[in-house]
Formats: sequence, structure tokens, C-alpha cells
Amino acid sequence: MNCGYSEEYFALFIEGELPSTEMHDVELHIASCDSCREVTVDLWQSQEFVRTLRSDSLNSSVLANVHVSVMNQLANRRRPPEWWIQTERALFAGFRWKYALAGVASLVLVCGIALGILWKLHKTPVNTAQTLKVDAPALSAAISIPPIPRSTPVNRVASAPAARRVADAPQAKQLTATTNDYPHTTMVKLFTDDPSIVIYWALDGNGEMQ
Amino acid sequence: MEVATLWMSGIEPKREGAVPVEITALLERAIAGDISAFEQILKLHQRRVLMLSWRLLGNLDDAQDSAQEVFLRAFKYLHRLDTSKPVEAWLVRITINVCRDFGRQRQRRQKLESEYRSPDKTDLNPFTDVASGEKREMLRQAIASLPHKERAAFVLRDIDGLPTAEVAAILKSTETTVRSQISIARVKIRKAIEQLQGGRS
Repeated sequence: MNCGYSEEYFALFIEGELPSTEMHDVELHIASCDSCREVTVDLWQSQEFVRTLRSDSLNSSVLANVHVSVMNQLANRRRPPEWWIQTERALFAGFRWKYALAGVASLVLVCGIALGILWKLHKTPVNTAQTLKVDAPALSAAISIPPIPRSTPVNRVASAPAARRVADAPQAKQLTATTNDYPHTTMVKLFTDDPSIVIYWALDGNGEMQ
Repeated sequence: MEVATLWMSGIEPKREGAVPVEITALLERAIAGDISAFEQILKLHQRRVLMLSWRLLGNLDDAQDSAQEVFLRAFKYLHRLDTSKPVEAWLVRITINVCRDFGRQRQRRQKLESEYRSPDKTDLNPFTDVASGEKREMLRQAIASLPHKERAAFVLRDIDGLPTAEVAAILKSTETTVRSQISIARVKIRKAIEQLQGGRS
């Protein structure tokens, strides 16, 4: 085929896919050129043969197979997952693992800090007492302190007669009265001239020694 | 034979119409997760998908697997579908992509088979060892042996009978490119048929 036409060109011609002017030119050419006509006829026949595939029919069982198989696979995909998977999803719904772990780590850190603060608060002595610095009585005077009157509040210990008497003692260095959270208990601490001797005594709400 | 009759025997183009309201409603239900609605879509289009897969792959077993994969993929990506456009074109596009993947897998498989095939086994060339009564089957094999893009264009245009513009739209290509691919494919098929006829004689 030395006419300047390619087989691909004829392949378009046989299906009418060339512009009308070119169609006309090719028609004129193949009317006079045997080899080109032969190629064109061969192409047309092969296209006719190809078009026989249009009449292919599918067995209904093949269609049913596809249908059943697709629906089964979709049903399997939609089956509810096992309980442990559901639990995991409930716990970490919407999270990726790394974010979930980061969240847990943050929670542990916050809890640790909170516990540390609580522990520190717990270790600190709960001393709401007021310290009264007075001239402490002598050891002997301290021992002879009479009971504090019942109505004496903690912060008025120093003004109580007994305390005043303790304060009058010449050898005493310092008197400290302490209360804790219990309003009815008063702790009295007596420092003497000898630093190795400190005397404590507790007074109940009635001013009685315990 | 009159030349005019050669191209007059061409293909009646199928025209795309508007998407019927029922189909749109069905699609919307399927997108919302209604599996029975999807089943109806499957019933409407499975023949078309299976047939196209068969023509592209040249093998009915592979075509069944391919059609299954097409519908599973369609279900997975249903939310991406524009319901105002025909679902068939979308399914055809998925089918072409799935068949391309199947074709690649088959090529790898055949390569492995050829590497490990024992020397006493016969050549698997369909044009040399298949009986002449299986002419159509060999034609399918010849079509399946075309390069993917040529094959898709050829099958859609010449067997499925879609107009060139529609084929170009499905393949996301131009009409000129599609025409070029089709013309090359036609010549290759003609040569394959010629070999087939030579084998018979």
C-alpha cells in the first residue's frame, strides 16, 4: 500500500469517522485502488466480526453469582463487630491510637500533679494555732498552773489568769499556747531556761488538764 | 460491495438522558446507607458491568471477579457520586479502572507463570493451540491483549456502541485521542483476525 494512506486512516473511514470531504476523497480512491480497497474490506469484515460480540449473552446464573457474592460481602462488612472491638471503639471512638495514648498520658500527668499537691498539703502540719509569746513562768510555776476558765477562748489564753500568772514567773523564757483543729483542745508549751526541758500540757474545752 | 454501506453500517449512538427521579431517590437512599436501595442499583446495572468486564478482560471468570469488585468499590465510594449525573457512566469508569488493575495482576501472574513454567508445557498462545470453533473466544483474547487505553476505547466505541464524545468523557480524554486509539486498535484486531484465519487454513 503505497498510496499515502495508512491503515489507521481506513480504520476511521469504515466507521464514518472522517470529515465528509475526506470521506468522499477516500471513496474515490478505493474505487480505483485495489490494494486499498482490499485493506478497507478486511477492516470492515473484522469490524463486523467484532460486532458479533454485541450479541453475547450472559447466563442468568452468572449474574446471580455476582449479585449474591456482592450482597454477601456487603452484609459481612456491615455485621456488628465483636464485643471487644465495640468496647475499644467506645473507648477510643473517633481517636487514632497516638491521640488516645497522648490523652491517657496527659490524664496520668495531671492526676500525678494533683496527688503530689494533695500529699504535700497533707504532710504540712495543720497548725491553725496562734502562738502566744509571753514571758514564760518558771518550771515550778508552770506545774502549778490552775485550770483555765471554761469560757476562755483559745486566742485569749494569754489573757487568762493562769497564763498571766505563768507570765509573771521570773525564770520562764517563753510560753506558747497552741490549738489544733479541735476547738475544745488547747496545747500549752512551756520553754524553760534549760533548752533540753520543754513542758507540754493539754487543756480540754473546759480548761481542765487532760 | 458498495463503499458507502461500509460506514453506513455504523453504530447508533446512545444518548444520555436526564437521570430519572426514581433513580436519584434510589441513589440518595443508597448513599444514606440503605443496602436494599444499593441492591436495586446493582440489579439495574450488573449486566452492563459484567458484560463490559468480560469484553475488557476476555475471560468470564475474571469478569465476574471484576464485576464484584466494581460494585464493592461503588458502594465504598457512593458518597462521592454526583446524583445529578448518570450512575451508569460512573460505574463504567469504575469498571474500566478495575479491569485495568485486573489486567496488571494478570500480566504479573502470566510473567511468573512463564518464568516458572516447565519446558515441556505447551505455549499458551491462543492463536496456535485453540480449536477453530472457539473463534469468538480468541477474538476476546485478542481484544484483551490490546493496551489498556486502546482496549477501553475500542470496547466502549465499537462493541458497546457509545459515541466517541461519550467515550472521551468516560476516559477523561479528547475525541481526537480516542479516535487515534480506536483506529490503532482496529488495525491490530484486523491483524489478529487475519492470523486466526491463517491458522485455520
